[in-house]
Amino acid sequence: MKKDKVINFFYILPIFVVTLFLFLFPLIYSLYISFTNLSLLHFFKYSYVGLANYIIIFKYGYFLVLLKNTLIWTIGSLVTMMGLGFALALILNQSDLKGRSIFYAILILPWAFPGFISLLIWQGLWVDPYGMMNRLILPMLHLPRVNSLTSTADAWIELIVTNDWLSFPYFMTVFYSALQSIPRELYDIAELDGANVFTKFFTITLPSLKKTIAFVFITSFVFTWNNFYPIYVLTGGGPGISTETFIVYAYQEAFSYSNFSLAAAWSVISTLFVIVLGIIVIRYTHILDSFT
Amino acid sequence: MNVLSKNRKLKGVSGTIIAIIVVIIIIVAAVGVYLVMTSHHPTPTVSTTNSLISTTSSTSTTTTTSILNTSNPQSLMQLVGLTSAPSTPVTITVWDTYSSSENQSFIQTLAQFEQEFPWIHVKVTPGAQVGTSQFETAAKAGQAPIVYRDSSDSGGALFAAGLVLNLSQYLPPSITSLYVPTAINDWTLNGSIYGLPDDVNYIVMFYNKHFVPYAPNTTDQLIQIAEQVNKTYHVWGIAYGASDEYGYRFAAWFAGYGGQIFTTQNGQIVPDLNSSAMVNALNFWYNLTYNLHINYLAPSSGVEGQLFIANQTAIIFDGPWDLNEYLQALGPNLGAAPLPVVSQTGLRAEPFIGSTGWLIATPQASGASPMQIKAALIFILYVTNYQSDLRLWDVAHDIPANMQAYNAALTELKEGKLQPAYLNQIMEGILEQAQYGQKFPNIPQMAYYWDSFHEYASEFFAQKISANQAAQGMEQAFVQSLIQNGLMSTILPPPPIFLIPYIMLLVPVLVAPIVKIKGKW
Repeated sequence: MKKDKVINFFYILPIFVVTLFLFLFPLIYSLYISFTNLSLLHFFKYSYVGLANYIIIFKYGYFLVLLKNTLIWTIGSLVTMMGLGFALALILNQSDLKGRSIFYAILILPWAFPGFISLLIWQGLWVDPYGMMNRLILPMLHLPRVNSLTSTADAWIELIVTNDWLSFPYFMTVFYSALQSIPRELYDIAELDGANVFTKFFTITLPSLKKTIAFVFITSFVFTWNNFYPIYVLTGGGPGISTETFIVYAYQEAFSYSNFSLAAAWSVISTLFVIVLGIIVIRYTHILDSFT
Repeated sequence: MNVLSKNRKLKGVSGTIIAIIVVIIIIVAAVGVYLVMTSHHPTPTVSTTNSLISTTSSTSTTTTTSILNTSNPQSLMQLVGLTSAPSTPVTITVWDTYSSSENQSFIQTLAQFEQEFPWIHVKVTPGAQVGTSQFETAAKAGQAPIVYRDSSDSGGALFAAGLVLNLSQYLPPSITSLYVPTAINDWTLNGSIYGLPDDVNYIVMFYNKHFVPYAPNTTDQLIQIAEQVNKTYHVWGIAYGASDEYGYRFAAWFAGYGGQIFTTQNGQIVPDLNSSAMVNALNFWYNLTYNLHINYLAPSSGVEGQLFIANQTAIIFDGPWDLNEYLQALGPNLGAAPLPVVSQTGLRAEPFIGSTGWLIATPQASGASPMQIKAALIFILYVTNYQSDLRLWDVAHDIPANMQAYNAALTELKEGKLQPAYLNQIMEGILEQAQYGQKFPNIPQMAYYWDSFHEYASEFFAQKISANQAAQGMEQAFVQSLIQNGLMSTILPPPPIFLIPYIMLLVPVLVAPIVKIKGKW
């Protein structure tokens, strides 16, 4: 019996080792260096400095500004991405929709492109007044031009719209798959009972998707919070630090200033926020209850 | 009576002696303080006008080439202490940061090097980025390349961190005479050479002769021409993305308004961005952008270049590294000239005169053996020698940092040998800019300038803050970054210890009158 247990342990050993080295080690190492003075000037010989880096963050850093920006970025992106993905999934799920596979193939295209290349293309599209967005699309929709260099609101619009374009195929696909799994009979019975579109949506569709929404919301919240490239490529955190998030700032501390310990401290704070906010979201929305 | 007179006489004599002593002490103290102050004066990091052309002299070139011949394989080996090639081959790793046109020249140089040094195998990684981050990551793992090419300011930060070798410990001091003084000075920190330059770089004013009748010599002329271009051709007079700037190009305008990035206070290097010069320079570009509408606030320098190529802007500020692109697009319509004089101050807009060059990683960062270090030294001497540098000039139009190559390039220009013929005039304009430049600070503090400047300049050009607030903000952010990174103390240091003896000498002089007054009472 004891021998079996030892053998069983060997089965999970590979994943245990992978988890230890690829996930736990970097986390613990980051935490460790956040208590040191590791920087370009203390590169090979660095020492323990206690909470000095954390004190610097709260004394000199832009803590509140970065927190506000990270929340705007995460919630702004998440709400619009999920909304857009869900709406498109509902459209694709219409039984009488012709050419569904063609639409699906077209809509999933943004996902097929490498994200970084897409961002470089979007960077060109937003150039005011020469890019296609400002020259063609926005005037066509009778919307004002967007210039991230001259307005913070414009910078956020640019970032969130681009991020929506990059991410909606994922949400659409997940929601569409979940919608497909809802038995058609439920809708037929509801129709017989005289239920309208809204009643069907709120009594059948939404409750059936609760698990999917919970999963997508939590994983995407963490992903978007830590999503670095759109901000770094499109606005570089500007104007000023108006669109800079924890993770972009940590990157700059590490790779512009070569202050690795301070960057690690910012990353630790960012991670703590994700954990705390995640717990709050789970507690108050009971979003995970559906899994049990 | 005699006693009294004797006493008086003695008193008079002792008073005279005391007075003489006091005077001598004052003189000694004053001379001492002066000598100490002058001998220990910190190396100025403030902007100083440099001239590549005026500092070059043909005599020094001829002298050095006879002593140091970095084109001869045998001399190179002797220079690093080798009498013959080792029996086993040596491999060195090289990170190449050249652009595509520069790489064409480098490939030829490399082929020639491997032919002349068959015992050195060079393992090149092309496409590496300038800037310290990639190198640091590799160095942390002890896997940095043995040889690396970077800009002098990034190299300075790596040297201050102890990641690259002090070449002064390996090469004779006369090695400096092989290079253009401005370039080798860029690679010198606290008297130590940490890299060998292969080019000199700075920005100039490129203009399209189709729109611009003559190169503007003052900012008033610049405005006048840009307005005319705007009215006549309906294209941008200037494309300069000041809000996207990290301060490399803006430093020229800042200097033109009389500003300097650093100053020294009690021997400590401190930022000096919060000045009327910064406010005026920011307002100048704001006026051209928002009030006169003659400058296009481009989102990146790439967009500026594209507009210039597409005949959508008449003037841009860029470096010779993009020259080939503009030459292909504009041909004989391309013009190049120094940045203009700021009409308000009468001072030239002075760009940074920087340099790119080759460094050798410390064994701790790269794991290199002593023989690999010797091979690396031979390599960097070879790729910065006369032939290699002249090839860079011929193929990629890089301004040579090697003195002999620089003089040869000047001769080529004087004789109008460059092809196509109009290239001679363009290169003359580019080289003329070297007379009006400022030293590119290579102290580690410089690394914290860029983001501090960018943050507040971009807020200013987004019309979120005033020029005064931007100048204050960028200096504050700069100071904070230096404090956070241990490069500046919050309290200014006390007077240097070496001044204490001289101050002590002054004490009796200062105390004497008080003692005298007390004695009277």
